[in-house]
Amino acid sequence: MSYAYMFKYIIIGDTGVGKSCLLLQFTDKRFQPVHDLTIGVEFGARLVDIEDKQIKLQIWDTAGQEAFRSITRSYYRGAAGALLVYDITRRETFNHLTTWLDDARQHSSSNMVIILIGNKNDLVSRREVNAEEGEAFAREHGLIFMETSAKTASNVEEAFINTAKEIYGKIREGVFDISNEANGIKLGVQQSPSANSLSPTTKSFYQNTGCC
Amino acid sequence: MAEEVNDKSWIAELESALKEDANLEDGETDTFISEELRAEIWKSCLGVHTKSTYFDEIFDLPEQRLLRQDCQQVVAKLGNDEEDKLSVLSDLESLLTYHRKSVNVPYTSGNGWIDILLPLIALKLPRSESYLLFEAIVTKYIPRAPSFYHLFRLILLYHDPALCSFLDTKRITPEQYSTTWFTSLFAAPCQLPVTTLMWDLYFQQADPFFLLFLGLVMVINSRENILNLKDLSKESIISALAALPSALQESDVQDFCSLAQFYSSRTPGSFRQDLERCLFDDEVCPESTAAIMQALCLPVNISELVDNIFMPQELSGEGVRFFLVDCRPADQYNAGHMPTAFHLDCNLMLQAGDVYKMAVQGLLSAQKQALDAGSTAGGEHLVFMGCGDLEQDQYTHMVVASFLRDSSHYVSILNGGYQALHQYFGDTVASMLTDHNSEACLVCLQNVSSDSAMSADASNVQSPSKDIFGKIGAVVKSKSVEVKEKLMEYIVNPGASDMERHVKPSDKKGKRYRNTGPVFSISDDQDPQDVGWNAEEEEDSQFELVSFSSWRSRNDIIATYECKELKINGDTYESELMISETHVYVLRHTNSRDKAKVVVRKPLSAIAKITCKKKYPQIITFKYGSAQGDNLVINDMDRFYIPKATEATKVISRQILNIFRKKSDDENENDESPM
Repeated sequence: MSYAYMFKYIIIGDTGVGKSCLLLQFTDKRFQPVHDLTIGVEFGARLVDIEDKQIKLQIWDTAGQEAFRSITRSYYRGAAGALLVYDITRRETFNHLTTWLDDARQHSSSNMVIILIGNKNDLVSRREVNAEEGEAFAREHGLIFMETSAKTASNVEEAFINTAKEIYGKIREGVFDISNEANGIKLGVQQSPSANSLSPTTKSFYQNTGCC
Repeated sequence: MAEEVNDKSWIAELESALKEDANLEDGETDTFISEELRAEIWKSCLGVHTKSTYFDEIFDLPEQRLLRQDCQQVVAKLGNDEEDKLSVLSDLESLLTYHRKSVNVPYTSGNGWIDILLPLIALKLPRSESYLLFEAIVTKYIPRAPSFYHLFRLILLYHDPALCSFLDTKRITPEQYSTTWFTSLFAAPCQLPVTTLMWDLYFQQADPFFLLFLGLVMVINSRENILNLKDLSKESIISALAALPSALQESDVQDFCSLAQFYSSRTPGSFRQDLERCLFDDEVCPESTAAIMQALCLPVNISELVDNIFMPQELSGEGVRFFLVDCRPADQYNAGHMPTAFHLDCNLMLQAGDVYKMAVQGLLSAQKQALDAGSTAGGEHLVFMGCGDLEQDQYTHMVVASFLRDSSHYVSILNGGYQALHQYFGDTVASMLTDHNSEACLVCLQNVSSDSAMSADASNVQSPSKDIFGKIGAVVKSKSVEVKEKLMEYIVNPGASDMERHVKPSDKKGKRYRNTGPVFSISDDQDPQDVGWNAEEEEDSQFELVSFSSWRSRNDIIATYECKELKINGDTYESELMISETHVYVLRHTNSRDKAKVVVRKPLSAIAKITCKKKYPQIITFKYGSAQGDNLVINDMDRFYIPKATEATKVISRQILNIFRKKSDDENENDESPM
């Protein structure tokens, strides 16, 4: 399990929007129609390839209920990416997005990449939120946007990978200070200092600390 | 108060005497309180003293119509004759109106008032007495705040996590099915005779939280039925749940209450102190309310944990016994932890899932072993401890969540974590915690600016109780499976150089022996208790009995010296020290002339250090152990009075050097001559 980087993700959103199912589809490639309510927080991981680099995604799946909100908040810090999920068949989950976003922005590092996900787009007949509305919200708040279905696996892979690409891009631009693990990025073990095209800051970091 | 209690017991005694009589007569009565005495006993239990109340009989509430309608409906369903019905109806409306005015809380349908009043009216007491009883029940036993339902969920989660998860997943909250149970003290869903019997027991129990456990038994008893409803809609499940108490029969009440008592005795009680005042008094406690409403699992307070661990003998065999799991990072754990704490490295869960699973297996088997051994560290009830800081406890919460997900029973979390524990012990922290090192303990470091006195000398720390790790380690290793050994390494020694945990705390501060130094040294007088002196009671049977003469004539014995074993308890034994090329033996004389007990049989390579006392050069101490990296781990020692001490130690040192040379170990090439 060697990897160049590890990115930490957090999945947030109202209860029942399909956060755990998205994670399960992404890590195990399966769908569980009745998924137990998440208690507190769960965890999953998968390796992906971004520009020929192996990147480990460490994903924290949080409980959506209000009762667990304070525990959920403790996981924002140290996340490089967040998947903010709503359910296209339940308008109220879309209406709560601002609260979630405020919470996320307040408790995370400013560089955290956030992707807005309208889940359950297989249930077309029960749709209450149009894709355009999701897109508009995302544009207004500077988020990536995608509609997915954890059931049919549509766009699930892309959602996780696009987020990773965005984070990777930010690393190459030198936006992320990867020497600080609180940003949710960790250097992998097998990376060789010569074979990279990292920004000067990352390079010097690497040389200073050696491989961890 | 005392008078009241006496009163109560007097009546109860009288009652039981009467009951015996009754039993003699018809032999099958299982009423707990006879009809004639019920009113008196309830009044006594509820602390109601007769005083007359003036009912003004003015019915001018804004919701008067609703109230009257509800009363009429309820009374119409009663089986009484018409005349009775009228008087019940007038009592009901009069009492409710009066209550509504005195508490100034609007009446709403199904708020439990009517249900509580009916069994009281059935006692046919004067109106004012009925009212006083009603008032006492509402004040003492009906929970005021919604946090009660969160607490109920946590208790269900504690005893039946799978069932709790099922209901959670169905998005069914306790409010939805148990509100009528709790706001009416079970009078609403139960039939009148059942309610009456249950109240007999309830008022004598006098525990406001008993309601929780009655509710718990209600749900857990029907768990199979509930789980079978999985394909039904949320609404049907809720109504099925809400109706559960209606199936209760008079003959079930006794068992039902005993079961509730059983669960109550197996539930940590910290929530009682935290919530009693806000649930059954009109105090507002926003902090404890928030803590319960946002809790991941049932919280346990420091005081409950500490009492439980340090005074287990005072707890009855039936009560809660804790198994403390310390989830902090290894370095923090090593800088101070509860003597009985089991360390589970939460980082493993993220970094090495397989190893984490093994660690959990190890934890469970250690728990089982500790339980079987009756150790103070053993308990069925898992208490997870974090740092006490939400952000630092990310992993702790995740581990707790994973235990809950795996449907582990009896999972709780320590309120405030290590920080609160540290604070609780205050100045005595160094003596209460094991391995406490004020230079590494995070809480001490934080406090250091404000309180420099905290840097107490950790070298004086003595373990308050036997180190559990030794036991667990021995237990697991005795299975001598490599995998398990590796596992223990992970669980007990999450860091690479943490082996010093096995040393008694004092060792760390004393002169640390380095592998490169001489084996033999003359040190200043040391306290004889400084190392893990084998203070255990010796069992005679543990020693092999051999013949002195045959050992003396063994070819491999290089030298033999007379000596006296000096035991920590002051005992001395006449013995002989024998040295072979590879081992050191001590043979103790017995009553029989030629028989000897082999009390020491150690490979020379196990001798880590030999010291003698400056003032008494004949007193020689052998310390056994092994090098772990740069550190020396002493795990045993023996002390002897050897008349020819100088000669004996020379021989031993020479032999040890020979062994090292034979090994041609690079590390030891540079060893200087030990004397």
